[in-house]
Amino acid sequence: MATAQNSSDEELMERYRDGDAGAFDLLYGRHKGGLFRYMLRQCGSRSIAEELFQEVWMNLTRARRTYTVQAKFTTYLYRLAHNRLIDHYRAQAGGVPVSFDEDDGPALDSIAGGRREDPALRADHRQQAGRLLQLIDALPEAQREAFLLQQESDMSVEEIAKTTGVSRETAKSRLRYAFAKLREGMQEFQ
Amino acid sequence: MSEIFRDEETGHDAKLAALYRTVAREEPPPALDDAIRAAARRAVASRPQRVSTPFIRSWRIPLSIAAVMVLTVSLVTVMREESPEMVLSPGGLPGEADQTRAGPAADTGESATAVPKTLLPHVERSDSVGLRPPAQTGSSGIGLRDNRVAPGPAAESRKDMATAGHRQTDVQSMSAPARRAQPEAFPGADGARDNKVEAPSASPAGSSMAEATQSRAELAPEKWLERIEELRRQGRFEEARTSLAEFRKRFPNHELPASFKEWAGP
Repeated sequence: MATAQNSSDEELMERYRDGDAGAFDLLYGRHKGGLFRYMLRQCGSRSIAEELFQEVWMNLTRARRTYTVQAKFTTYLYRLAHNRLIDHYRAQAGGVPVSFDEDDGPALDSIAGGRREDPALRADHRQQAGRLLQLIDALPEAQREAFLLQQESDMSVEEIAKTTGVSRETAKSRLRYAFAKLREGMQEFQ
Repeated sequence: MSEIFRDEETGHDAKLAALYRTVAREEPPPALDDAIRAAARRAVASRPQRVSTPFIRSWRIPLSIAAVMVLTVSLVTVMREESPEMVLSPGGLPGEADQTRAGPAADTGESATAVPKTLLPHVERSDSVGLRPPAQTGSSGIGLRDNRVAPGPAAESRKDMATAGHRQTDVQSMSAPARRAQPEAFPGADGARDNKVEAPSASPAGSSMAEATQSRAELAPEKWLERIEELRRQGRFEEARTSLAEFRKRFPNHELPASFKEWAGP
């Protein structure tokens, strides 16, 4: 079992493809948290996040027969999640958020300033964390996605670009804008 | 925030990232974990069940053949019940043969010619069920076999044969090779048995002699002898001798009249 725990994600996925259910348990344990938070922050509803989260894993189990190692497993997994999320957006009245079509985000000074004035967020570290979550929720979807992919799965810019189906420059731009807005929102704690 | 490490290219902020990780702790509910893991195990465990798919596929062809056979037998059965004139039974089921002739369309050749061609090969292969091909019966169907029977004494003999069974007419309606293949299926009817032996003489080279032989085949011994006597009275001695030779082959124990012994010899 120690060998399995030291195996890479790709090796585990290949073992699951070949019929090893235990390999799936290890993979799931490694990535369930990050993927769930990615879904939770992107769709804003816990119940919907749980539904989409389950569907992504089910899609993974169905697609296992055709799985071949062509990229990092996280790129493969989050690509499934990204596609499912886009389908979810399309099913909504508002459609796919505009931010997914933008190479660059809005101006850095467009972050809503009213949230800074919340006195409850100025107390301690927990308040800072809560404020950070608010700022993340306020990010455009595409920028938030780039931020979450980096934070939850340690993806590089190239991997984010591959997962979200955009160019490296677009991915880098989204990530840069996301951090800039978060920093600006957190300035009051400096 | 003064100690923040920043990646100039992406703007990555290490302190922001660390702060995020302290607060980002949400996890899926345990029930959802269990459901997903169970589904993943079922997906793997379902592999052997997929083996059964080729097994089912392997039965498709036999089942299809069986279904076609059942359908074919059902169709033939329905045809025999609804259009008995299309189907003949020369070997067995005597009651069925009578039923065949009892139908209103039994004496019309039209129904025989209306048999679908697709059914012919199947019926021809059958040993117990025979289908009368239109080419053998001609456009007149059963009427043709009546024409083959010579007038005169032969017409009277037909009444006798009617009591012995009607299958003879079916045999006559068939071609000569087909008749040769028929078993002796007419017990109690001498004329009918004669028909079996006389069948080769009903070849396409048929002449007046062949017609006479055909007629004799349906005669009782006394009638046959009368016809031979008639031939002699008409001066057709060669034909009379030939016919008598056939008669002796057919009825070796039948005693000839005294008038015959004068010219026929011992």
